Amino acid sequence: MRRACWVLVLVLLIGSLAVSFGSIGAASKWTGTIQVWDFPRPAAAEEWELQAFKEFEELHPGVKIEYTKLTWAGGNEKLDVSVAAGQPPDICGSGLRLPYILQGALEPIDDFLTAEDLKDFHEETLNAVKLNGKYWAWPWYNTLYVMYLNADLFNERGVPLPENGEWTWDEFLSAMQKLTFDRDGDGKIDVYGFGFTFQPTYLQPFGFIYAEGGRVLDIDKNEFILDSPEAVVGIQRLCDMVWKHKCALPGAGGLTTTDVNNAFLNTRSIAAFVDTTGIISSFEAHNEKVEKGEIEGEKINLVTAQYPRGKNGQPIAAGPGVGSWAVFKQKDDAKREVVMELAKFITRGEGQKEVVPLIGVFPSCKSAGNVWAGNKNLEHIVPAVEYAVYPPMHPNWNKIDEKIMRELQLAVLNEKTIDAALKEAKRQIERLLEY
Amino acid sequence: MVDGSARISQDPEPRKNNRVHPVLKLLYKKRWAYYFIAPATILFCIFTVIPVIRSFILAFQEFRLMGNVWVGLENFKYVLTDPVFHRAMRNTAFYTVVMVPQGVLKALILASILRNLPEAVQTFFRGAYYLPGVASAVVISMVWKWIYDPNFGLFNFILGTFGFGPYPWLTSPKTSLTSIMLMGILTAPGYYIILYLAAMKKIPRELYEVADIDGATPFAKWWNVTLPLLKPTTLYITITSIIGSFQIFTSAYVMTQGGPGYSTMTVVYLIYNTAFRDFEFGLASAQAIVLAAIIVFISVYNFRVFSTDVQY
Repeated sequence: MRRACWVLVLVLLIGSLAVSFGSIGAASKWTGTIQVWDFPRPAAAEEWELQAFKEFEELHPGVKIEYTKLTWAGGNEKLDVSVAAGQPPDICGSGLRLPYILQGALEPIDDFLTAEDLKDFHEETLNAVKLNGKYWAWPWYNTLYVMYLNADLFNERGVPLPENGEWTWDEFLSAMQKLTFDRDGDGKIDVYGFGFTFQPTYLQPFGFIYAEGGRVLDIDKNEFILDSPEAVVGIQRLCDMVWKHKCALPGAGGLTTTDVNNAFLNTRSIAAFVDTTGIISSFEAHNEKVEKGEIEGEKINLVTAQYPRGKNGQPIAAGPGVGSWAVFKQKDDAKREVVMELAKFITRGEGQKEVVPLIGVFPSCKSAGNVWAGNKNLEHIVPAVEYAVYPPMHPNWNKIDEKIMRELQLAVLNEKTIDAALKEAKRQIERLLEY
Repeated sequence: MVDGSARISQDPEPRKNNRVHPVLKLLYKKRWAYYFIAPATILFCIFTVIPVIRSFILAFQEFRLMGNVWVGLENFKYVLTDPVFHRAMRNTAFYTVVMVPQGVLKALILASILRNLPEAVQTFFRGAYYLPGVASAVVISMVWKWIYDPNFGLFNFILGTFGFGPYPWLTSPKTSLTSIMLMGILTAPGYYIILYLAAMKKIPRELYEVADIDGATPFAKWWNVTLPLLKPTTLYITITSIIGSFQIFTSAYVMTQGGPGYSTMTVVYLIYNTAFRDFEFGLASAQAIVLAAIIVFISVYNFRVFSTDVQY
């Protein structure tokens, strides 16, 4: 009995020492306020964020989170001004900007990324936040382009929809040709299979270029590689759809993305086009308004599909970018650690499982699993996520993109050969590659 | 000869009020006028003068979020050797060369026709021609974009009924700029018509009566009396429309985004892209200064050439 008492005392002593050491450890951690800014998200996702901040505060006594919601209209300017004034937030959602990296306003996250994290994030996703060998933001989600199909037009022409949203180039082309038709018999085409355009900052057609392995830049070698045979195949296919097979909306290259969207949703003059998953909600809203009689028109019977696969049979996806949380420069090492912890907490796989579906995008890490299981429009897109290609992280990307797009416009309008357009693009961007 | 300073030095006891500078005296005397113009002047300085000076300084800097860096004339060198700027300048100049003369001529002819109509009819047409000017340029551009739609636009529909087309109005680099110009050509210059009508009303009737006595034909009266006396108005309209044409932006932005290729890239659209898409405010300022210099040069040249015998 006496021995038991001694053991108990010893255990209590060790326990209390551990607790006191633990509390010393916790006390050494930084306490104070973290300024968090983010752009507007769907209401449910914003609620999730606020809950996550609350949980983080509970896990870190003494840490307070001050949340500021930016606007899409003036948020970028507000962020720029705050950085220019040396008063940026501590952390910002969608705050990754190349100028911020180049001008030393952001913290690299490399020291806080574990081997597990590196293994968990999709490789291409990580590449989208990597510059000069360092990672500059915590990837949160992937925004992808998907192919939208008007199922009614497919049914009208007796064209089968792609099974599981997967198809090869030949299957896709054959479908688009069958979907190009003169409905009223006046000798004029009323419906085209596909609609696309080359417009600066809109990379929708690039999935066709990526399919056979084509890429725009080799970021490691800082080289223009859009003139590689793999890339040219994709560009040729797009041009052929307009001029040889005549199954794409004429004027591609001179159209805007709004024109193409309009042709799909309003005039119903194309059966397929490519855009981000974010617009599914606007199609759903359209159908709802038609159902309620708020607007005239017909509901759209929407189905999504992947880009046609290349010869290697792998799925392919293209995306305009990766949603992420960027940490701004911190003077205090202890605070930096807590802010990084917060970024990691928001972007953790478990959290992505909950919030990513609310935003209508795809998780950036594998551990989040298939968040779209059972969703008729997005489930079959998930396998393509890990093959997604995003715009290269190059400081002059905006300018490079514009020069490439404007030359591709001329190629797809048959004003220039593909070869001439790519040579001119390469010549123009040569000096932009240096930085 | 005794100069003023000698006179002052000869004055043994200069009067007290002589110590106040004459300019200050004048300022004090007219102080109420200055009080009244002060708010507008201050606002003008804050919102126009200072930004212009700031923009001028920025043209010699590379804009950086953490503090701008002086780069001397580098931005100007880049602008002057940039093929895209050259293309934008060519497009803008071509647009101006066509649009300004036709606009002035159209306003002059329409105003001359309207002038002879009854007052009520004149009022109706003044309103009708002025109305498009009140509508937003964005809205007008969007309507025209639909008119030009290659597949479902009004123009191609009409031409199609006669067996022509379809024409790629905005979707071909060969026709896109001329299509944008056609939009301007088919729009009545309401504001300039009103200016001309007002100027025509100020021409003394006696001059026409004298011409009638001399047996002048209506065209001779228009050519020898109306036209010369409208010269100040014509000069004003020419200069303001040159400035407006050089600043063409909305239609290129809404209808074509400067494309296809660079076929509708204008200088102001390029400045907009450089500043607000690329965040290169220094370069954008240099582009703006080059454009401003060209506009000033052309305006001064016009003023000198056409204002030799203008009566005000």
